[in-house]
Amino acid sequence: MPRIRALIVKELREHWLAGLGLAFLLGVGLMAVLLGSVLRERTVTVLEAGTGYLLTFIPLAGVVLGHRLVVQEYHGRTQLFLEGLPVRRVEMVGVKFCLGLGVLVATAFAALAVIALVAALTEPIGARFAGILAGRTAGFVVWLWCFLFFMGFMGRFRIPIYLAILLAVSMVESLTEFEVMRFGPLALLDPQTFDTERERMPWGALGETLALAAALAGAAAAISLVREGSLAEQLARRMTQKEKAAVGILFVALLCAVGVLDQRRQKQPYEFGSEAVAAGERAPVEVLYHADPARPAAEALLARLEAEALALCDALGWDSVPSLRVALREDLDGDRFETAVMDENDGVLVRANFRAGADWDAAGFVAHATREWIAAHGSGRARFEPKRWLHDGFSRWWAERDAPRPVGPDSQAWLRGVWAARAAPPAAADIVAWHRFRERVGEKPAEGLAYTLVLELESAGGRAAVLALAREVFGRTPAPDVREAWYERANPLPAVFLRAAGLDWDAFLARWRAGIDRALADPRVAAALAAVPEGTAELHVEAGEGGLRSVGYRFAFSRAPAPGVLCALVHAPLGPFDAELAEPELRRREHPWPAGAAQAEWTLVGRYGAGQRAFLALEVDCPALGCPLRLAAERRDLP
Amino acid sequence: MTDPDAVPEPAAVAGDAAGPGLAAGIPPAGPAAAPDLVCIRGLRKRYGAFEALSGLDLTVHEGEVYGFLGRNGAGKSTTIRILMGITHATGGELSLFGEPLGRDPVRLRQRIGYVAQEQNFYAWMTPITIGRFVAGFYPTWDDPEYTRLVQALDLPPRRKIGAFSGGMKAKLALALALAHRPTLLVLDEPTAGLDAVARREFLEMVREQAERTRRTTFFSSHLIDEVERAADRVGIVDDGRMRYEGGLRELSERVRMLRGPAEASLDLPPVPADKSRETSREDGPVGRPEAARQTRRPSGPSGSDAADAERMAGFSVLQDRVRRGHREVVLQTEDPGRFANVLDGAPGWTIMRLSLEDIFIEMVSKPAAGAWTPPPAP
Repeated sequence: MPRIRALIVKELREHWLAGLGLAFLLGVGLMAVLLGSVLRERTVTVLEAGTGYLLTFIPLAGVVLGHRLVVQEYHGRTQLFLEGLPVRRVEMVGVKFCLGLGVLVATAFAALAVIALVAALTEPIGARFAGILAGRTAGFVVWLWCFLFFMGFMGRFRIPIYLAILLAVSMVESLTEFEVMRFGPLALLDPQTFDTERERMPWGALGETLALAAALAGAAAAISLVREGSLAEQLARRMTQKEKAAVGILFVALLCAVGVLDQRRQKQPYEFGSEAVAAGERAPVEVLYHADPARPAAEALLARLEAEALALCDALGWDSVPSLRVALREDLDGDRFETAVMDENDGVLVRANFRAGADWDAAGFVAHATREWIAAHGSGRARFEPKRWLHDGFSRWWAERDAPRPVGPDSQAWLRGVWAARAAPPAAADIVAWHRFRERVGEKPAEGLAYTLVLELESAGGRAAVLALAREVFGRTPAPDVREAWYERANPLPAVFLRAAGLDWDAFLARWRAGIDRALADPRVAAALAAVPEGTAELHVEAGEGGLRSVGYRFAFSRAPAPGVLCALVHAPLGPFDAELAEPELRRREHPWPAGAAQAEWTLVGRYGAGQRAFLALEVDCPALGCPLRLAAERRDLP
Repeated sequence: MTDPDAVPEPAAVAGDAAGPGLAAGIPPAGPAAAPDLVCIRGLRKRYGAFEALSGLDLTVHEGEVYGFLGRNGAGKSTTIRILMGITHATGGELSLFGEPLGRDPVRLRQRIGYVAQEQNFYAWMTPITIGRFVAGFYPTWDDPEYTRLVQALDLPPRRKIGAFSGGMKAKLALALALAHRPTLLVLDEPTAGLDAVARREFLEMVREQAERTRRTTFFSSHLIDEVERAADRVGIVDDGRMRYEGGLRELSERVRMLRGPAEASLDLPPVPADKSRETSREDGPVGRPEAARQTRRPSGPSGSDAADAERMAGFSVLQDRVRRGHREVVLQTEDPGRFANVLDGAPGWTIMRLSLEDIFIEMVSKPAAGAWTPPPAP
């Protein structure tokens, strides 16, 4: 029909320039997404880019289209001019709907085709899989356009409604178990299935999506046609000052309500889903043992932990320790403990092999549990510098507080500390910047060194000084906001040290260094450290093929480890910001030490590219100290 | 609704079907023999509780220029929007070119040239591009005619409409409305917002094209001088009803104002029920003046009840008020000759001719006058 053609031509003439700009942006976006996908280290399939692109750039294009086709027409009141022409209102609206839908579907399909073609270079994409991808994309885009078309008719209220929807979705996500990404239109582009589900069309999600789309299209039609279009015309008018104020107040009220709801959220605490659990009656401690044979060990551990918890509460002035759950994991070494990442109110969950017999490091586990208790009690602030050294040292001291004094080479933890002090003598700044020092010497030697510091405090001020300092630093419940940062700034470590322990910080450090020097001069210590491998380790980075970088690493020992002892490259890619690296983030590349060798060299190829940053460290296992010793460590920019 | 004592309504009335308004007293004027291009009967439109049109009747004959007069909010634009199919009527009948509008509104609308009250053109278009766009909606679009009109109306063909003045936009709207050679030209207060020069220029163009092409033209306005200048026939709408439909000359002949002392009484013909509202205006009393009511008998201008009734029959009262120390009664009649003896035996009263603007104001102003009623039997 000529009048339909006239309407289409009008839209094309009106929006061609904006369309051209949008097409350019979408093209650049597609190239960026594809390039990022190809270059990203962990990309499994380029089709991952499809999900990201469809979820970001296509909605962006849809918003622009909806604005140009609907909002601009009604806001400019030019629809009144169209109404004066011999054309039905439904034809006017229908042309806009079909045109926008066509452009959006074509854009999405073009992008998907390009992505699929690039993906087809490295993986098979059959007709069925392509059909599923197309079906998912079409369903999502049809829904998206229906939604944006409807929102276009909401006129001056569309921005507040967009914000309200975002708020509602985030509320649903955070306050309920409902997963938005598993529902209807978003489920079609679920990153977990979009590029992997090659056989089954998600008919359920597709049906939900199309039903929702039909409802939205119907609502849009109703708004545009009801009362001869006057409702849409009224909605398109500019917002009055009163409306702006009302929307602002409503929005702030909603945000406050969400905040309150979020705080009051009654989330079910984590629980073991087994009946094979020994639960403490005097302290919130549970031990999961899986089967009856492990029950005695579990009950013994529970009894120890309950006693430790009660004593710690007494010592630090707590009402109760955070709940601790210990799960038996028999494939772990007896001195290795895995802490799960839990929600704040779920306490601490640690996996350990408390049935490791002689290998079971009971004191080490208590030190670990104490460290986690202290961290959880202070919402993790105990791990912040400058009190981090005390967190490590006090935890170990607490676990070994009843050991005979003076502590000497018989204590593996103490010996590790002495080794660390010899290998990387720490300055006063290193004690304060504990993360860096810990990263340089390794977790357990650092803990040992912190232990020697606390032992020195005990030696200088007695057990009371240690407990006073711990109570001062860890006993209070920190404010959950910026107030705590202000408190810490107002109470620097030397001042706290002086106030709680009655000692000058610098004088204390000098005393500690003298003690370390005496220890190193002690023949018993020298004899104990004689079993520790001595040597150096070096790292170098070389250019490889295709912009990749090779990491070469070399160990050279004057006192070599025993054959078969593991030497390892510990490495991890780094983000743009320097943060503490957690144990699970670190990857190990281990090599048994060759018999009779004084030095050995290996190369890591193809893992890192030019321009990346990486943490690289070299370690050698030391059975004498019961932990790996870090001989070199650095955060390096790979040229 | 009709007062039992009101003057009987003549059968051949084009006007308010619901009651004896002014239209009830005046037969239609103009080319009655010409076919009706627009015929509206009992048109109603309700927006929620508000009734914009309450039984409007209207007839536009072929070849005439019809001025549709009314105050703001009287129902003019609503009538035109219904006529154009933009809005649907709540009730009543409407036929265009002899066909009911409901059957194929788009086809019928293609025979109408429409100039809206407010010009909402696309600012990015030029007269050339908007002509190309609008052409797609009219099978009879005449491109050379449009080009001629754009030139004749002195419109810059390549300038963006966003830079046009209000007068230029009105001219462009006229060119677009005429370029497809419509059978009927409908203009909804096309001069609203224009300055005096532009308004006159525009009306002359409308009049000129109507005379040149004998095209039926229907235009609405709230300005009597516009209608006076351009229209063959007028319809006066008030409160959603037609108050008068006919020629302007007939209208001026059939309405007079009687002015007398404030305390003087004048027995009046019956008042239509819908005109007897109780709202105040200026410094006059509400509805029928209290003084008049008190002195209706025995000091009226008449000698006897029967003679009064005979003399007042055939008049309708538009206003009856006391203003600036005088009592003013505005009367209309279908027979202007009757004004000759309406004041017989009424000392102190004078009869005055009114301008068309005054007549229009008296017709659409509130309140209307009280009704003359026969005196109670002694």
